[in-house]
Amino acid sequence: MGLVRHKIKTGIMLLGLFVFSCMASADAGAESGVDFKAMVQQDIRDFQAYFKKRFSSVEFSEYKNGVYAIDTASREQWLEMEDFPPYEFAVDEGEELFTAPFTNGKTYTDCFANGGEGVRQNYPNFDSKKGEVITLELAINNCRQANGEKPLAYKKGPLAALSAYMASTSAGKTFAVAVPNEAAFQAYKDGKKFFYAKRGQLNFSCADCHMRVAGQKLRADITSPALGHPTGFPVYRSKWEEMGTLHRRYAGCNKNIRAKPLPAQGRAYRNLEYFQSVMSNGLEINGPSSRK
Amino acid sequence: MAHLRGNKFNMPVMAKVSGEKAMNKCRLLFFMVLSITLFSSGSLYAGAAVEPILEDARTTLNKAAAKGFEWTTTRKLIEGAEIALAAGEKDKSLKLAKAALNEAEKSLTQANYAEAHWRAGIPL
Ligand code: HEC
Repeated sequence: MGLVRHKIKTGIMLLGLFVFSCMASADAGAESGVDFKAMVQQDIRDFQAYFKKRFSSVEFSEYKNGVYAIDTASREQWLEMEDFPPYEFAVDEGEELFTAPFTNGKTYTDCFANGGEGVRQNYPNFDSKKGEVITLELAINNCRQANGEKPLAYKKGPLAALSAYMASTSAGKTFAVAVPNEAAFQAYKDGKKFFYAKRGQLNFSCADCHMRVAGQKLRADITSPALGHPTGFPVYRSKWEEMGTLHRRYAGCNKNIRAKPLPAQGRAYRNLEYFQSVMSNGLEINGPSSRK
Repeated sequence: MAHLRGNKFNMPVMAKVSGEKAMNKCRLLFFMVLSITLFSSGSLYAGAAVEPILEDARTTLNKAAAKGFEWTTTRKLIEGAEIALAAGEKDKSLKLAKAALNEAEKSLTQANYAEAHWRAGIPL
């Protein structure tokens, strides 16, 4: 009796295992034949609809202004600050750097489409040959290295100034970041995963603060909607008393929840920027800008 | 049997046989011996145990870090434990090493959880 029962049990288990593995492989098959372009479009629609529902009186185009799109109290102050933009010196510095020749006689204009004017909205993009996301800041350093120059530090200083200048020549152009192929979709998904995963000792995800509690006060700050995050960068931030790039901000947000920041312009942050930029498609470039 | 009663260790203690004084001395001696044994074996244990715990904390943390989930606090605990150990402060070292291991394990759990369940964090 016992033996028969045992055999039946084993049989059921094996059957279960078989069914499970069939399901698992069917799932894997679905993954490879997935219509990633439709999925990305759906993501964009859902993401933007989320904020439309949360802040129904806020125009879509306003999301380029970060927290000031939704926080009327600090908006006045910010508009005053923008009257005498504290980032203007950085734009000037960036222009000088941009036009100054490298030691080999070439300049940045040789590396970029349209001589680097009005191209900010095309970044980040997916370089299929290299198989990685290229942000504007990475492209600037790639240009330097191709011309025998040392790369610049990624969070502030000359690189932020160059980025500020290039953004300023792109004012009013809209983000149209594409996810052109399967490899790009993987990078996009990696960034998406980063955005929604909880991390740090405090166990927060980007979405926890910049979706769920967007518009609410966290300690001294009201958190901005994630929609439009990359549009205004780089920024002059009063707290920093200087310019900073988007990845500097990522690092700051990671540190605040006691998660060790990942390297600026490392793959993880570039993929995160890729995801955030795709979500912000259709919004205008208005960097550089000023922040508290 | 009336004078046999249990103390909190449930050991019979002779009371009222040779008077309160004798009992107090006896008690004192008992606790001194007990605490010396506990204390000395405790710190001996700490010296022996701290290194493997630290090693475990380091490898676990490196696993979490490789997945991009290191916390800003854990390496400091490990460093603190190393410094305390080098200074001969074994109890402190053990405490810090255990705290480091605990954090490292939590951050690795967080990384694995994120890998499997990150979609659960999508508020859409
Ligand atoms: C604990 C809450 C919290 C978490 C988690 C968090 N942030 Fe932030 N973040 C803030 C606050 C507060 C600010 C400052 C106010 C604001 O939103 O502009 C900020 C600012 C920013 C800004 C600047 C926005 C602007 O317009 O200047 C960006 C970009 C940003 N966060 C991205 C992220 C990303 C990406 C993540 C996940 C890696 C993240 N944040 C995680 C709270 C958080």
